[in-house]
Order: sequence, then C-alpha cells, then structure tokens
Amino acid sequence: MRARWLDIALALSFLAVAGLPFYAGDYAVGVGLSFLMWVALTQSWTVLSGLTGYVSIGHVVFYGLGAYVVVLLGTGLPLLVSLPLAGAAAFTFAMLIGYPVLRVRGPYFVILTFGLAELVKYGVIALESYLGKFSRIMFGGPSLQTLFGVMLVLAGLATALAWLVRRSRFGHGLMAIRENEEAAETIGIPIARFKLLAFALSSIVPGMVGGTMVLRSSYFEPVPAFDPMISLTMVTMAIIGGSDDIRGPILGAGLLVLVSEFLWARAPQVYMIIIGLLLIAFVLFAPGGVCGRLLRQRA
Amino acid sequence: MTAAAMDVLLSGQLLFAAAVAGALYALVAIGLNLVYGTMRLLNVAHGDVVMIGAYATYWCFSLLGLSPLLSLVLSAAAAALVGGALYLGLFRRLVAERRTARRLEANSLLLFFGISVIVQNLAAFAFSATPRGYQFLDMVWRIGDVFVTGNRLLALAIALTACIGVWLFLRFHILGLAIKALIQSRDAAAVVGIDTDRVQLTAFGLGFALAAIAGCLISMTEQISPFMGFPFTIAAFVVVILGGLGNLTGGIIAGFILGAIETYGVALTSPSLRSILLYAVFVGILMLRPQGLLGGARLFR
Amino acid sequence: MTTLLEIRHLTKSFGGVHALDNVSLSLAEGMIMGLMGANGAGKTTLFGIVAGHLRPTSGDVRYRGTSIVALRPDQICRRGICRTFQIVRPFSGLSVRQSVATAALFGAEPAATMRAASERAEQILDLIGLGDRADTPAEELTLSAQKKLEVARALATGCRLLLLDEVLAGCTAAEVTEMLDVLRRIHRERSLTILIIEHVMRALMRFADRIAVLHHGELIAEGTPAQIAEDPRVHDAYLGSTP
Repeated sequence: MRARWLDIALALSFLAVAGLPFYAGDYAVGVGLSFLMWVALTQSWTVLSGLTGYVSIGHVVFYGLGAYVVVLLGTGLPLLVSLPLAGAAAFTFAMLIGYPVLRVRGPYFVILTFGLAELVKYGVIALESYLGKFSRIMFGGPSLQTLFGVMLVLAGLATALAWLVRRSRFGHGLMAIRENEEAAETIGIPIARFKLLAFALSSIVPGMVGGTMVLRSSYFEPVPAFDPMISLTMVTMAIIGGSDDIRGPILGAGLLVLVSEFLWARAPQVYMIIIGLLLIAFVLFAPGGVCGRLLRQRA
Repeated sequence: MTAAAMDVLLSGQLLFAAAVAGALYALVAIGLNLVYGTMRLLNVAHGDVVMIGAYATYWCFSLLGLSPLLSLVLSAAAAALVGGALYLGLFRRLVAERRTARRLEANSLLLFFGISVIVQNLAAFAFSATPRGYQFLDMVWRIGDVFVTGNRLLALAIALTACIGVWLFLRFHILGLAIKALIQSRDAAAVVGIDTDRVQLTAFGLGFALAAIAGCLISMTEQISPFMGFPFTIAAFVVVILGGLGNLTGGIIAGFILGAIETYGVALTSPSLRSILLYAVFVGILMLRPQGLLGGARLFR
Repeated sequence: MTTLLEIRHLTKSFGGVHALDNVSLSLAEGMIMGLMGANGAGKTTLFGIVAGHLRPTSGDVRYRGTSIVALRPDQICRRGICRTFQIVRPFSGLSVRQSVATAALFGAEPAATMRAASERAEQILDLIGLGDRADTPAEELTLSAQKKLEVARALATGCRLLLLDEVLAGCTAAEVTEMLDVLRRIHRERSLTILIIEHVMRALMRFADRIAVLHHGELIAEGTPAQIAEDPRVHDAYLGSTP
C-alpha cells in the first residue's frame, strides 16, 4: 500500500518538475535542473556502488571529464553530438582504468576512487596551465530551457538504466558480487567482466551530465568541475534515499536539493556540515535509507 | 641532464628538505598504522587531526604568545584525550559490532568521511578558509653548504625523536608489545590474555597525539588551512602500504622514500606537480598492491 | 565407465614447501571419491586447483578430456564443476531462495528466465530439505543449514562434478546422518560425480565408493574403503609410524 502511495506521489512530483519551464520562472527552472542533475548522477552511481557494493567516492571524475570534453569541443557542435562524445569519453576512461581499479576491494577501493579523481583533477589543472589556460569561457550555449530538457532526458536515461540493470541477469550477478565475491565467482559469474561493465555503465550519464552543466555555467575551471563534494553529495543522496530501490535516489536528491536551496548560497559550510551529519546518521542508523524505511522490504 | 641540474639534485639543500618532509610523513603515518593495525579501521579523518593540531598551535602562538614547543605538548595531550574519547564513545562499539554487520567495512569509511567533512567545514567556518602562518625560529643557519631555517631543523629533530620514542615504546614497553601482538593477530592476542580494549584505547590515543604533534611541527614551517589534512591522510596511506602494517622501521624508511620522491620530483619538474606526484604514487601503489595494507593475505580456505 | 576428472602429477609449492607433491588421481563418472588426510595434507589446495582458485606449480587437471588448469573459477563452473567452501560463504543479504536462484541464473546450465531460476531453486531447496526456510536471510541460518545452502547453491548451477569441502564438519551426529542421506539422494537423482573432503572418517567409509589419502602433500593410498581401512601406510600416517 505504502509503495503505491509513494509511486503516486513520485509520479505527481515528476510531472510538476517536468512541467516547470511551462509555468515557472528561471529560478525555479534552475532548481529543477539541479534536482534532475542529482537524480541522473545518483541513479548512475547506484548501478555500480548500490549493486556491487564497490562504493565510489570519486564519481565526479566522470562528470569533470565530460565537462572538459564539451568545453574542448566548443559550442559549434550540436548537443546531440557533443554530449554523447562526453559520455563516450567517460565510458572509455572507465574501461581503461576499470580493471586495475576494481581489483582493489572494500575500504581500499573507496579511498582509491577518491585519490584517482584528485589525480585526474590535478592532471587537468597541470594540462590547462601548460596550455596557458586558467579558465575557459563558453559563449552562445543553449538556453536554460533547452538544458532543462536535456537534463530531463538524462535523468530518465539513468533511472531507466538503473531499473533495467536491477531486473536483469547481469544485475543479479552484481548483487551476488556485493554479498560475497568469492562465492559469486564459484557459481559461474565472471566477476571481473561484470564489475568492469557496471563501472563503465555507471560512468556514461555522469559524463553527459558534466557536459551539460558546463554549458549551463558557461565556464570551465578544473577545481569546481572535479570538486570532490559532487561525489560526496551523490553518495549521501543515495544513502539517504536508499540504494536498494530506484525510488531511493529520487527521494534523496529531492531532500538534499531542498536543503541546499536554503543553505548553499548563504552558508556553504553549514550545508557541508549537514551533509556530513546526514551521511553519518544514515550509515549508522538507517542503512536502507528513507526508501528502505518507508517500504520496510528488506531485499 | 645538465651539470647545473645535477648539482641541484645532489645538493645538501634538497636532501635536507627531503629529510624534513620524510620525517613528518613518517610521524603522521605511525598514527594511521597504529589505529588501522589494531582495529582494522581506516581513518581517513587522520589528516584532519593534523590540521587541528596545526591550528591549535597557531592560535596558542598568535593569541596567547605560547611557544609552539609548549603547545606541542598541550595539543598532543588534548588530541590523545579526544582520540580516547572517540574510541570509547563510538569506535569501540563499531568494532564490537563488526562481526554482525559485515557491510560496515566499506561503510565505516563513509563514517570517517562524514567526520572529515564536518571537521574541515567547522574549521573553515570558525577560522575562515584563508591560509595562515606565523613566524617562529625562522633565522637561517648555515651548516656546511646547506642553509637551514631553525624551525625546519627543530621540526626534523622533534619528528625523529617522536618516531624513535614510539619505536622504543613498541619494542620494550609491555603495552607497546601488546599493540604489536594485536596488529599481528587479533584473535591470538585475545587468547593469550591481552586486554584488547585497553590496547586499542592506547593505540587510538597515541595515534591522535602523534598526528597532533605532526600538525604543530607543520604549522611552524608551512602555511596552514582547514583543508590541508587530506593530502596528509593520503601520504600516510602511501607510507603504511609501502612500509608494511605494524612495521614501524619500514614506515620510517617509507616516509623518507615518499619525502624524497616528492622533493626530488618537484625539483626535477615544477612545484605545481606536487599534488599529482603524491596522488600518482598513491594510485599506483594501490593498483600494484590491490590487497592494500594487509599484504599478500588473499588466501582461499 | 568414462573418466570425468583426471588429475595428473599435480605439484603445488608455496615458497619451497610442497603443499601437493606429484599427485595423480582419476574420477570415473558417477562415482563418489573421498579425500582424507590430516590438516595441512593438501586437500584444500587440491580443491583450490581443481576449482580454479589456485594455479599448480606443475601438472595438469583434465575434465572430460580437456585441460582446465588455466581457467578461472567462473569458467570452470560453467564447464560443470562446482565447489562448496569449508568456511561457508553465504550471500549474506540475500534470502535462501534468492541465493539459490542466483546460482541457477549462472553456472553450467543457466536458467532461461528469472521465473525458471526461481522454480529450479524451489525444487532444489525441497530436495535438500531447506524448502521451509526459503525466505530466511541466508546469514540467519544455523551452521548446518548454511552448509546445506552451500550444496544447494552448487547444485543450482547445474554442475556435473560436485566438490564438497568438509560439509559435515561442525554438524551433530543426527545432522551428519541427515546430510549424508541428502547427499545420497542428490547423487542418485542427479547422477552426479562427487569428490568429498571429510574428517569424519566413519561417515566417509560408509559414503564413498573409493577413498584417496593425502599425507604431507603426497598421495599415499587410494582404493575402496575396505582397502583403505586395511592399509598399513594409512595407519602409520594417522597413528604415527611404528619402528
């Protein structure tokens, strides 16, 4: 019963958000855009971290790479070309580094993902300063309303991906890896290939989201584009909402976007402290997240 | 390589810089090693203890005019108390419950990240994000061909003394021996009658105190900021992985190796590559040794 | 009878210590082979090599005539060999049914659909006597039930050769009898080949067609239970040699 009401509430909120450009001003559309961005990022994150238990706190690396690719391509290309290229770049990067990275397990994997994202950040900083650029400005990007539409599609894609993977044979294999990797291998699951594929699948949409957001802000600097707080926010949203269900990331993103609207501009440090507190509280007391609490269905 | 570049590399100046960096890294890493070794908890907020120690020294110096040498002792004691309190209040329970909640292993890291974010932003909120520094013992001495500042020499001496002190403690004191036993094998240590609770409390307190001492020393020689901690956590990981879990001699050597890699790497390229160098070593080491701190312990039974 | 598994001159050393020393052994299709030996005799190392977790220093393992020593555990499982673990490795967060159904989705005979996997899981759970615990989280089972779950999960992969690593250890006498009944039933109904490591010697004598005895990595005897019981080398190895 509760699941039914939750679905109805989510469907209504979805319609309200999707229609924002038709009835609301730029401020509200901007908030809606940021909500959709977090849904897209957090859903993608759960495909890797929710299903396999390989918790990534460096997912911003794909976002930043996507942003960098789009800024390098410039505004001359249509979105339908530049954004898929951003996604492809993230995917390629994930495939290249995935195998050695995913051999590292548990807490070491977690901290490795962070170190890797920082490494790429400093790499891009060095590259940019070598090229003599300290920030790049983009003129003539698409309108806010267009970007909103793009982000709506990306959020839909990420949600669909998370839903499809969860129901597939592949998804069940990933969950087996999460619960016991040696046992999963013993029952015939090609663990290395599955983990790599999950890693790469979870990177595509973040790459495209990064590309979209650089058009929104119309400038690129490595430090904000690879901000570790973006990774941390994804993790916190997934944990708050619950990553065992595709509704979790939507709830988590909704809650935190509301908090951030109140605090981010006025007191960013207070906002970060609240994120930290929420993360600790949910890890300790409600590992299933809000969604797990509401539905009370232990997987 | 040109002859001039060769001269720079072989100079005592760089050697001294590498030694100072190495001794500080070794000192920071000992604390991480002790806490991880005895409790298998990966404390990514370790570098933030360094940051707090640095700020404590800074404020004591600039507000109260307290000598960093005095605040070193005070903040070490305070950090030991905080570490002990954290252990008793939070982590003792966490470790005890670990058997029942297996997924907590990755999650415990998220807890530390949460703590780290909170501490950093509290510090930024209270002290502002502007980097700070103060002048203490900054006269330049000449030893042979090498010019050294008093504060760096002092930092090197104190860091080395502290490392040797811990080494002696682990070698000869009964509690130190118990810490080593616990690092080797938790179960066996409990069986032979070691009070694991007391040992873990000691490890936590000692680890925090050493991190705070390192923070004091760093504040004498470098600018400090609320977000300075994380690179030290990463450096400490590199040192512990290179040196081996529970192996202090290895850790001290590894600290000097990392200090040398960093100092010479920067000297050969440019100071802007310092962070890349640190993270590249970190990523490279974890990829080469995917089992991390535990060494080759991936046995099938 | 055709040979299903053939182990040829297998040697495995860990830093100079021979865990296995030139061991050869062959299993005919449908037989139950017991593997005996003291702790450290090399039994689990042998399993690890057959199941693909370890690479031998030298020697070969052939399954249905082709070498499998270079394959990964998941590839070996898809060929039809599945093992259980001495220290159980349940899918902690999954229910008993989900654990077994997941195994049915992979392995040598992957189920075509989720529904088919679930149905196969139900059948196997009924066969093995865990039917009434299907919705229990795997980690909440008793130890002997977890050992049954290990067997059920292996069966669900559709394996033809089952490697059982001390499934009776830690079970009470009644549970041992029950487990042996279950194993006989699945052996009969599925016409499996079984290689079983066991410390409970009396159980092994009743259960196995043939028994191989390892001692310090060497195969010191192989034969029917009656022959093994009479073998002086086995007595020496177990009771200490008499001058």
